[in-house]
Amino acid sequence: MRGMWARSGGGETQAIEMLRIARQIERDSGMQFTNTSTNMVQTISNIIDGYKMGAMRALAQEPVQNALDAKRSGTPRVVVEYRLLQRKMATGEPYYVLTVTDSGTVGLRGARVTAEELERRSFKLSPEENWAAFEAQGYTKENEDALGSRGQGKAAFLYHSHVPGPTRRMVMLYDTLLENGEYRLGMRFARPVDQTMDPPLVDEKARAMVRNDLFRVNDELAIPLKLNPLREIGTRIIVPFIPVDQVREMRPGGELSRWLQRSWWRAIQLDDLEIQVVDNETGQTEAIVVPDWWQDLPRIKGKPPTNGRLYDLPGGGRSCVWGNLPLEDGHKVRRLVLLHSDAILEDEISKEPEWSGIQLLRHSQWIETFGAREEYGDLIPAEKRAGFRGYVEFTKHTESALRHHEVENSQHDRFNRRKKIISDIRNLLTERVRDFSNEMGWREAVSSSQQTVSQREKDTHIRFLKTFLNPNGRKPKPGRGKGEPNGKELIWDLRLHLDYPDPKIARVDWGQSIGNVYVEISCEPGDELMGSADLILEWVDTTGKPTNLIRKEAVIGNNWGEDRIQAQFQLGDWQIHRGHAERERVINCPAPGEYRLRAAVEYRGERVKSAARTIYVQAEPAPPPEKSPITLSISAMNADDGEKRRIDHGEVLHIEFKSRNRMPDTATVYLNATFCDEVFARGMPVELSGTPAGDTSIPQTILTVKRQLLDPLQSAHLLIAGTLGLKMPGSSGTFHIRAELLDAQGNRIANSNKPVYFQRDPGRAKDELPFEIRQESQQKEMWKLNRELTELTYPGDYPLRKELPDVQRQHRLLQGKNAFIAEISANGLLEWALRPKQENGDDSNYDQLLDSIGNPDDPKWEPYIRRLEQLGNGATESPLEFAQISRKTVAVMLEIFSQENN
Amino acid sequence: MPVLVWSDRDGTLGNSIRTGRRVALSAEEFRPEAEELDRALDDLLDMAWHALTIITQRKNGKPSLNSFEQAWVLGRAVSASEILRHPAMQGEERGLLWQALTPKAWYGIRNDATRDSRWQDLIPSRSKSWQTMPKKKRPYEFLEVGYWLREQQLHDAGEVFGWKASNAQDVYQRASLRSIELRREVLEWLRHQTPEVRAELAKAKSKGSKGFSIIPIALRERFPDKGPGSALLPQHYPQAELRAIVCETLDAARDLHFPQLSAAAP
Repeated sequence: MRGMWARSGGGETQAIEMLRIARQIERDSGMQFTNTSTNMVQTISNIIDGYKMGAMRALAQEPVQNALDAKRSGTPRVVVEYRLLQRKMATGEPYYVLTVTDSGTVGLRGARVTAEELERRSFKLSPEENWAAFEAQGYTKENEDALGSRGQGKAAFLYHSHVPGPTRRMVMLYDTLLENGEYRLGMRFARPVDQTMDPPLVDEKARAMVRNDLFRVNDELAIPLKLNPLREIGTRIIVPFIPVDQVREMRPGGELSRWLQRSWWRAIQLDDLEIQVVDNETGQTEAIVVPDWWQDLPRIKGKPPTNGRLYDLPGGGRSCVWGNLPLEDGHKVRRLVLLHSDAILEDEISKEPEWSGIQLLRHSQWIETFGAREEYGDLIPAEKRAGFRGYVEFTKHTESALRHHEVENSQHDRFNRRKKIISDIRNLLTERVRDFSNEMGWREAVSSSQQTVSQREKDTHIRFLKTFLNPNGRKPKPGRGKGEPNGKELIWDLRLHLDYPDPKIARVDWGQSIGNVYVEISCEPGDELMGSADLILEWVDTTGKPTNLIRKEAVIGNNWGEDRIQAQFQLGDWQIHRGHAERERVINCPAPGEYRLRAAVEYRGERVKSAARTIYVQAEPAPPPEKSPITLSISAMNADDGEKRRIDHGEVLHIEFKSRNRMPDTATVYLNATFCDEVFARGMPVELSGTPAGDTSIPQTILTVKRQLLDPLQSAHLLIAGTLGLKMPGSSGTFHIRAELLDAQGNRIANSNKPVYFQRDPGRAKDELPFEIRQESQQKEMWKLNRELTELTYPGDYPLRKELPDVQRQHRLLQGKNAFIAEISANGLLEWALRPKQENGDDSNYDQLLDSIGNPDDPKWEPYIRRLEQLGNGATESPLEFAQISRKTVAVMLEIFSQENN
Repeated sequence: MPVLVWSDRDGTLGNSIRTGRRVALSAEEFRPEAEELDRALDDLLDMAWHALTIITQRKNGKPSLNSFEQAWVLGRAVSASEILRHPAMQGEERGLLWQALTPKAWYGIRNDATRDSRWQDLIPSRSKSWQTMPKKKRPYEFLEVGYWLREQQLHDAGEVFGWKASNAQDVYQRASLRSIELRREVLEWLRHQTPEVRAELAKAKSKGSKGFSIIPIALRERFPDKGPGSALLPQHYPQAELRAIVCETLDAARDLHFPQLSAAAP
């Protein structure tokens, strides 16, 4: 026992109180209560909060649905009556009771099933066990799907009961008359623990209690009932203590009636159902009727044609009816009716579409409306949307598929749009609305669309970004084998040094040599390296095809006690030869062009790090850039778990500040670097060696910092030897590492910052991708990346996209509208990487893109690397040339995306 | 921190548990911890209310509540009570505490479900958006600002921000200007200004006057939050250097906006 009882004086008092009340009730009426450990008040609030259109729709929907499900064979229709009654408390204070009575049903039949029994039966009830179903929570019925068994019906009633008192409590009673003449009365009390009356009162005792002035629940609570016992077979739910402000909504003509009409008009029209709303206080009675626009259409009966039939409506407006429209997998639309009349006014209660749009009906029950604005905004002009109505019904086979719990939600107010059947229905309806729109002459009038990005398009976008930014998502990093414990992330570093004949230019002519090829490798933490790693040196031709020059096996291994493994390899001079290379250390290179010399480390069968230098054989490289020749980047990773961007208390943050100097001459710059309140560098001089023109600019590490991040509100006893702790300004938040490079005159030449997510998850996407995708109807450009680089937008009615088909069955990734999404994602990704670089000399995103390349040694990635380097080196000062290379890069990216994912 | 969040729907009380922790079935499993924390919040609110009665001015015998003081008092009480070190709060975001504290104080609900309407004095009556957006961060910013203001003595903080919560919020929203070192230097600079300049700078931003906003705007230009110039924030400078920067920046802003008043300034 917890909750409110605990507040009234601890466990002992609570127990005594419970015992006292239990005894009192037992004495008074022979009743007992069974407690469950659920906070029922909270559970009910959660259930009702799940109804996106509110509690009143739940009240209109659930009781009627339950009644229809319990229809008694041989009766023409089910009748449901909502009746509002006024009663007085012992104090003379008036209060309201709502009763919902169904007839033409089987009533709450079946034996009582205890909680223990239910558990023993693995929460399974037979279809006849209605009483047990109404009293239990979380069961499933045999031969029935899971919908409707999560307590929605009970919650819809209980939610409206507000038992007087300082805390929120709810109560309801239910009586039923069964075919065998048995009469039962039960009660449920949410206080907030869940209580049911066990056993229920039966027959005369139950009738007497219903007639009685007061139903005494406990010392402080008595419910004035004074009702007539049921005379017809069926069930009545009694909801006492309806708040005064809700009474108006429950009177005839109020919001409840409007929801009843929305939900059940079709069942009423088909004469399966009759609903009445009665107010005892005023004597008013309202029968829920079919709305005017659907009332007397001749096409309700008879078989409409598959290609649709148009009708002029007597009061103005037009309608079109289709029948037997096939969907995929044998499913079918039985009937689709669309209608428009300027005489119909907007009549919506909630923000969600109800009438205006196409109502999806399942077993004559309204589930959801595909809104005229939300779904068909680009087909129906704004001024015509209020008068647009439609409904769609399905064959029995399709209705059964729709009722599946993964397609229809348990609140019965939404279909899962990710399911294929729903997506098929949406596509079909869109096509029919398009036809209708054409018939009505609307298409021309529609100027803007307001669609949303489809899930499939979102998936394509995410997949695209993951291909280029999250290679680990596709290919596990080597580290440890199966069964080996998870250790720390290995951080590899590899540098390839060489001398060009002219140190200022990456050109080597035939007969000349690449001198002093020298490789430096490091790896830390050293003791995490299992076994040894290999070194490979290879020559990559202009098409990206590698030729192995040297392979040194098992040359990188750890020595006991070493924190950091370091190895150097002197690989000598390599001559470039035009003819056939026979001698050792001669590279055969018959055609002029851009080649690469690449060194790589292979560890456990995977290439973990590689570095390449560009060699122009008998060709002139582009001159070095004039703009932003020196850039800065920051990389930050969780040294305890490299896969995780979040850093928790006690974990180590590994920060690297790197810079590239794309000029041939060495430059001296000054670094400022800070994180939270700590200054890592202030005016720290850094010498950056130059990059020969045309060579791959290598990021030079200028500062490495490791800090154990500490929560200021937790004790710092976790300190790791050799690593300084950094007390964070707050227990949780996003904090930025900031750095800048200055020249000798103090001018800022590069600036960078990197977010660190301390004890919180990265805000944007759980996939930790840099930007999301969204449609923007006002936008004219094909795509746009916002200033913060967090959102890629495109216009839904962009001419090219509009003409591309929606993909129904995806065989290839680059298909229909998805190809459009991939294309703009590629462009967005390039801008994300290059804009900070061009604006601030910030290479962080650019380096991340380069570092994330899944298989740098794979020929299909090679052209991408080269193009990216060309864009990054800024060797293209002319905007035209830059645009050309960008286009080529995008084309290569699409190719890679397609190959990597298909 | 699993927290117990009270609600009051037309006089009937309810409560629910919220947590950022992983839950097996529902947050209810943390109810004992949340109840424990809720009891501790009773003491915190009592402490804050008593502190408020001491510092708040009275007009015609009635307290004249000032949202700046309300925010500072709550921030100080949270800090002094060490509630953030409560076991229930381990591994949870601070914002969740504000979600519990605000309705509890506003509706005045003690842990035993008795009512204490006095606590309502602690919550600025204009801050109502937490009722409509109970799970968003923004509606609770006054508490976040209060917790930030607690770093200074009330009088010092009041002097810096002209005793106006909106002025404090103006600075707080610019993340690069949040350091205590900067506030100290701004206070020092203000103390050297003429009463006329100080009076102008204590005003909240309005249609006719930029008032206090001159200070954050000028400082933000000198200490941008991101982009060029953002690497070194106020707290990264030695005190003397920071003082010189602040004086130079704010003198220039003052001369630009109040040329007629600045002639008298030192």
